[in-house]
Parts: sequence; C-alpha cells; structure tokens
Amino acid sequence: MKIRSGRKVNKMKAGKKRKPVIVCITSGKGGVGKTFLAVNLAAALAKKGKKILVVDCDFGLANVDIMLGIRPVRTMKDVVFGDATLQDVIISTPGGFDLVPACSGVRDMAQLLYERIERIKEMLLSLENYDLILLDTGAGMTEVVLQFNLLADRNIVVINRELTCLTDAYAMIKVLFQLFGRDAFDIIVNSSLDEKEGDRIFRHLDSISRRFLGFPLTYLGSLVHDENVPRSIMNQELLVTAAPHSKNARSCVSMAGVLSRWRV
Amino acid sequence: MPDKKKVTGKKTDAGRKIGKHRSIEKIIKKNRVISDWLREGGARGSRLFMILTDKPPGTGRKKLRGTADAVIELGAEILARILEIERENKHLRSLSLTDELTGLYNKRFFKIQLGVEMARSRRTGQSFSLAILDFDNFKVINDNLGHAEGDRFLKEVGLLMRDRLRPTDFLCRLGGDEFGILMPATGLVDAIGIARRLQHFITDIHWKKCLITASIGMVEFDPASKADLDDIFNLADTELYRAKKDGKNKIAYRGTIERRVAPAEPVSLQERDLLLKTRGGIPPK
Repeated sequence: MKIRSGRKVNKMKAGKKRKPVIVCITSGKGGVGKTFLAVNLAAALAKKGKKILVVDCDFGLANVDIMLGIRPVRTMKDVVFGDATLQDVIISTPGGFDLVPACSGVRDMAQLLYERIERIKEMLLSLENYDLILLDTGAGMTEVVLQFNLLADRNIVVINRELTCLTDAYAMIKVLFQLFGRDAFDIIVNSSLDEKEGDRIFRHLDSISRRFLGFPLTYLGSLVHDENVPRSIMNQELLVTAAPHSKNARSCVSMAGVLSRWRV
Repeated sequence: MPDKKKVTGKKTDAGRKIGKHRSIEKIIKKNRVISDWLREGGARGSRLFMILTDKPPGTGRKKLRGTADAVIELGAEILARILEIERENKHLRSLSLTDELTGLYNKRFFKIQLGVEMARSRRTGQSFSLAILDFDNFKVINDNLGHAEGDRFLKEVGLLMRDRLRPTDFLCRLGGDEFGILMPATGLVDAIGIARRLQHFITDIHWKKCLITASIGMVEFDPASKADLDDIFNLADTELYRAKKDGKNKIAYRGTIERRVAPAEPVSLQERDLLLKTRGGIPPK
C-alpha cells in the first residue's frame, strides 16, 4: 500500500509536472500598487524564463487586463457562473506571462459564496506547468481576499508611505495571523521618497510586528516615487519593458530574482 | 477503616492522590487484588478507595493499607471468582462498543456519542458536525482481491483515517465500508476542511493498483433545532446519497456555511499609536 503525502507527490512528480509556488499580493488599502507590482514582477519573472500565471482576484473590479491593455473575452465569471475551467479562460499577455482575467461590474462576483471560492481554489491548486502563480487581490478585508491569502504559499504585503496604508497593512497582517496562523509576510514598500525611507518604513512595521505579534517580517525591497510609473500605467505598458533602465524597473527585476528562488 | 496515619505516617488523604495509586498498581496486578472507588452515601457524599485482597500480611499489604481507605481480606476462591467476573464485564463492555474488525468504535457507540454531543450542544449552544463517509468503489477490492483483502483494507485505512483526525474527533465504523465521523464543537466550515483532507488522503491510496475514492455526506447540528438523534443521522445519510448521485468522490453538506466569528482582536490603540508615530517615515524621537 502506498500512502503518498502531498510533499512526496511533488518530489515524485518533479521530473514531469511541477507544482507552482502560489504567491498572494495584498495590501488592505486600495491604490497602493498591488496590480502594478503583480504585472511587473510577472513580466520580470517571465523574462528570466519562468512560466508565470497572474490571477486577477479582484472579481468585482478587474484591473489587470486594463493595465496590460488587453481585452479579454472570457473571464473568471465564466468559471464561476458558467462551465468554463481555468484553462479555458487563461490568455497570454504582452508581458510574456499568462493571465486569468476577472470581470468588472458584477456585484455577485465580489461577494462570492464560500463554496464558489472553494471551487476556484481547487482549480488553482490543480494547475501545473507553472513555476509561480501570482494572485492579485482587491482592496479591503473581504472573504475573497482572506481566502486567497490563505491559499497562497507566500504572502506579499504592499505598503507605501501613507499612514492609512500602514495601519491597513498591519491590520491585514494581524487578521491573517490571528485567524489562520500566518506568520511569514514579505513586505514591499511602494512609492517611497528614496530607498532609505523605504527601509525605514519597513523597519517601523517590522518592529511593531515583532512586538505585538511576535514574529519578524521579511523585506523584499522598495520602489521609489518616479514619473515613469504613472506614465507606463497611462500608456498601458509594462514598466520593465517601457523603461527597463529606470530605478524601479531594476528593483522589480531584483525582487523577481528573489521570487524565482521561492519553493513550495 | 484503618488509621492510615499510624501505618504510613502521612496525610490521611494521601491515598486519594492518583500518583499514589499508580505506584501501587504494580502490587495490585501482581498480588491478584481488586481495587475500586466506592461511593459512600451520606451527607458528605465522599468516596472511598477500596482494595479487596487475599494476600496474607506482608510488605505489600502494608503499602496497600497506606494507600487505600479500606483493605478487605477475602478468601482466595471468592476473590478469584470476582476477578473473573470483572474481566468478563470488561471484555463485554469493549465488545459492545467497538468494531471487531477495525478496532474503531461501532455504530452503537456512534449513536450513544451522538446523543451526548447533541445534549452538550444544546446546553452550550455550540454546534457540532457529523459526517458519513462511504468508499465509492470498495466493491472492486472485494470482487477482484477477495473479501480477506477487503477486510484488511478496511482495517488499515480505518486506522490511518483515525490518525488524520483530531484527537477530539470520533471515527466509527457504521458497518460495511461506511464510516461515521463526529466532530464535537466544530462548525461546518472547519468540518468540511477536515473531510476534504480525509478525501485527499483516500484518493492518494493505491491499494494493489486499485484507485479508491470516497463520498462524504455532512451535516451541522444546530443547537436550536428540535431534531432528534435519528433525524440528524438520516440527514447526513441523505447528504451522502446526494454526494454519490452527484458523481461520487464528492462532499455534500447541509447547513449554513458561515465563517467562524473572527477571534482576531482588533488593532489596539497602543499598536495604532505606535504605527502612526512615523509621520512620512520619520520615526519619533
């Protein structure tokens, strides 16, 4: 009799199929740069030759497709309410990675039932042939956001220099820790004045986490305030391809290097 | 009743301590004696620790006296008879509540415990969950590999399933290839998680190249409901039937899917103050 635990299955399948690392990008507050980071990290990883899938998990208000300037025909809506599978709606993007687009303006999607989320989660877990799956969650602390954070192997929390953002991110970390026992978070500081400030913001959040929650946070890196970023979004381009030599693009590439070494 | 102070020179209630009893367990086993707690009537309602023995006075006896409230000496024959009856009773008790093949609890126990959990749930207001698991293609094993192999499968997988449950859950064999799982103080969301884990474990089994799957029917008991024992059991059974009809290897459930109430504490004022002290990233002095 063979009883195979999940981990062993991975090792056994390592030759043929691989189990992707699932990374969830979250922040609590909206407009911090989750989607921007998701697509640019994905593009940077794809350039390194990795097979990447980005899943737009903001089911009610999709953003990823707009940021990439693509017009998806079938979306997550067809998976949840229709009979499509994830494979059916996956499209490839200019960035060289694959995308599961979400739909905009469907209220029912934003308040998914538990069982529906479970179904999507199961489909995601059964995906193979990807090195890394990036889940781009929406703002807020909804059930959908929490469930996708729970599903992921690694959680990236994006913060910026705004005080509201800092408290929201901390609240998110605290809830994920107290509800689900998550105690490993990777922090990215977005739109800081300079690298020093990014460092300082991280150390500040880290010290509070150590003190009140009892675990340290991990620092992935920071992006500085730069006109190239809003310009690339306006032009529906990727920063890593539109301005590959800008400071932020280089930061994205170096962070992607860290992500590419993550294993399940 | 012996005056223990004289014999042992220790506190009177020393014998009531469990640790003490453990230490004399060996003597009791070796010397063919019976010990038990005797509920003493009266206003105090206290309990006495009794030892029946046929052991002639000796070193062991002195120790026995020191640990029991009363040591009663009996003839060797009577004691042997009592010992025999005790042993039989113990055997019968275990027979009536455990399943012979797997060593798990049986349906009888399952129903008794279900009654207990329902009463507890109504008293505390905390719901519990119930699952009935049935292998989808157990017949294949029986038909292809023989009934002996089928029995071996049930035994091994039954015990492995028990290892994969929490210590507070009850796994019972209800008969055939049907198992019941009782999850005290567990809401449906958590219970489904446990059932799913079990299902994944079962799908990973390759029993002599036979692929096995299981269907699970689940129900959450609502403390406010007036359902009786059979109602709740039948509900779970109906769900199992639905899972089977749905194409097998499925989990069907009834009950409200509701996230457990967040036990997380909100961000405290102290945390908030500390967070906000960095205005624009400048830490306070």
